[in-house]
Amino acid sequence: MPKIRIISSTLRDGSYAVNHQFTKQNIINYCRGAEKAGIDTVVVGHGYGLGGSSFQMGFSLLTDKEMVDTARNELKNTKLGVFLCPGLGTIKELKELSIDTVMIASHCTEANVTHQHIMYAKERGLETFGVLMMAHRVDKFKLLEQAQLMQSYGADNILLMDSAGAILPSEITEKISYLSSCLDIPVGFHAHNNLGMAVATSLRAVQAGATFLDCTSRGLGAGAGNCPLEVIVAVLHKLCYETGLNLYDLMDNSDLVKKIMDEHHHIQEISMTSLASGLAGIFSGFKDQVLREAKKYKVDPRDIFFKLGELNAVAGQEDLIKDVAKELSEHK
Amino acid sequence: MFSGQREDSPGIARAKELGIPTSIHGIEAIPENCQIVFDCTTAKSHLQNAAFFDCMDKFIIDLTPSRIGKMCIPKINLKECLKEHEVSLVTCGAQAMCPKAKKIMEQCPEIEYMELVSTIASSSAGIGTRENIDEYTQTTADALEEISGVKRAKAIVIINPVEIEMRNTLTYMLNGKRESITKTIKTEGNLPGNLELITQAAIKTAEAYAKN
Repeated sequence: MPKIRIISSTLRDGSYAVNHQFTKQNIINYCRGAEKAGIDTVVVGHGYGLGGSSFQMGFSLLTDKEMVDTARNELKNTKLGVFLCPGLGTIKELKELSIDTVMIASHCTEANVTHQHIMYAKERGLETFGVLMMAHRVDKFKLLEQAQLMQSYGADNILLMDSAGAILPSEITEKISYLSSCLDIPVGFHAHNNLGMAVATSLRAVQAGATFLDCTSRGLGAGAGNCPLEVIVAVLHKLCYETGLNLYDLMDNSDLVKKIMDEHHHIQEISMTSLASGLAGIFSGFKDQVLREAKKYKVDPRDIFFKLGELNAVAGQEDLIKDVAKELSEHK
Repeated sequence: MFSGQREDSPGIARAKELGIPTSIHGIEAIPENCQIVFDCTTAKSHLQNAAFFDCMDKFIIDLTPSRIGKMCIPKINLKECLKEHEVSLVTCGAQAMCPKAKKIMEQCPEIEYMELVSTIASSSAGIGTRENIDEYTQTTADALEEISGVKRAKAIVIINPVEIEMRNTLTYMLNGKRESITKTIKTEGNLPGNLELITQAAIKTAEAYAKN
């Protein structure tokens, strides 16, 4: 059985879950645990990556550099990565950071915005992931076309993201097997749990040819959260896949994350709003803003999500939420 | 004269249809007797061509986000710009929202930070924008700061594959409250609204220069 690489985006996707308020101590504690468990790579930063701290996406407690430097101090064998969405984060911001890895992400139809960033990352010698977000929105042919662009720019790996937690197991089998059979570079998957499918789709992805998974400890993440790292590793081990990870240490790190959740008063669950956003196919990270505007305009947050779904809103379009809520309140 | 590099360029084909002389020799084809040059290439190309432009006794209107030349928002500072050798039209987002940002800062100079999120349709984000996306956001932010006077600005660009009109949302804090204004750029003619915006700014600038 092949070895499956497990990447932890707990300190990146998990940022949504704590309203981007990770403290230095949260980062230090998590990194120590990740290092101990032998996690391959830890991705750190605002949920939207470099430059994400904003009105639009939520301000973070720490700057990108503070988060990365804090993690850098703790990690020796575990690699340190950041996330970057062109149009938001820039190469200039990337240049300031001492990192090993970068995930460069675009909406699943817009891969050519990542060209200059992937080229820079490769020139610099960083391990580079080309990331296609909202992978439920297009078919396998379009995904391959976009992944091939990223591959041609020099990406070392392709990561498909189910940003909305909308993908069902059969769909991920189809998409991952197609991409992994046609691409020359490793293919991986990042699941969200809005339809309770995160572990199932992650497993199916591996069975369909994915050689790495991007997960979070305790599933800490946007909306309904991600594929819980320790759970998928337990399942993979049970099926005789190797991960090189110590499950007990992963479990301890998961309990640490539970403490971080409690500290930030966060409950990781499939709330009804998250269920709606998964069905609507809208980015999980919109949840907090949707709840806020729903309260303000006295409308049902589920209706906001379904309306955003009709508008095919993409990640980054949080400014639409207020308009949709206002319009719904006017038509009540 | 419409000068590009690719024989199969749709722009060159369209220029030919309109009876405009064309060339595939880029900057070298610019005739002696032309007085105004519109650079619609890319930020990197504009930087590379900067030395040529410096030697030309022509008025250069830069439609790339390269940032060379005085920032020109015709609705605000057209007159001063006409005295320059080269002007930069910065970005379509800056053209759309700098006037509003300036008005807000005049009324409320205590505002310290403004953020512009521009959402555009995939079909109206050309390869120039995509290859220059960092320059686009940086130049838009710089334009907001320089033109409106706000201490710090940030610009974000989101591309959506759905056919939508350009949407610009400017957000700031005022009296402890978060305020935002949204302006949608309608598509009326053949060009998407955002491209029409910067094209009109270029035409307005050139016409004013020519009248002088």
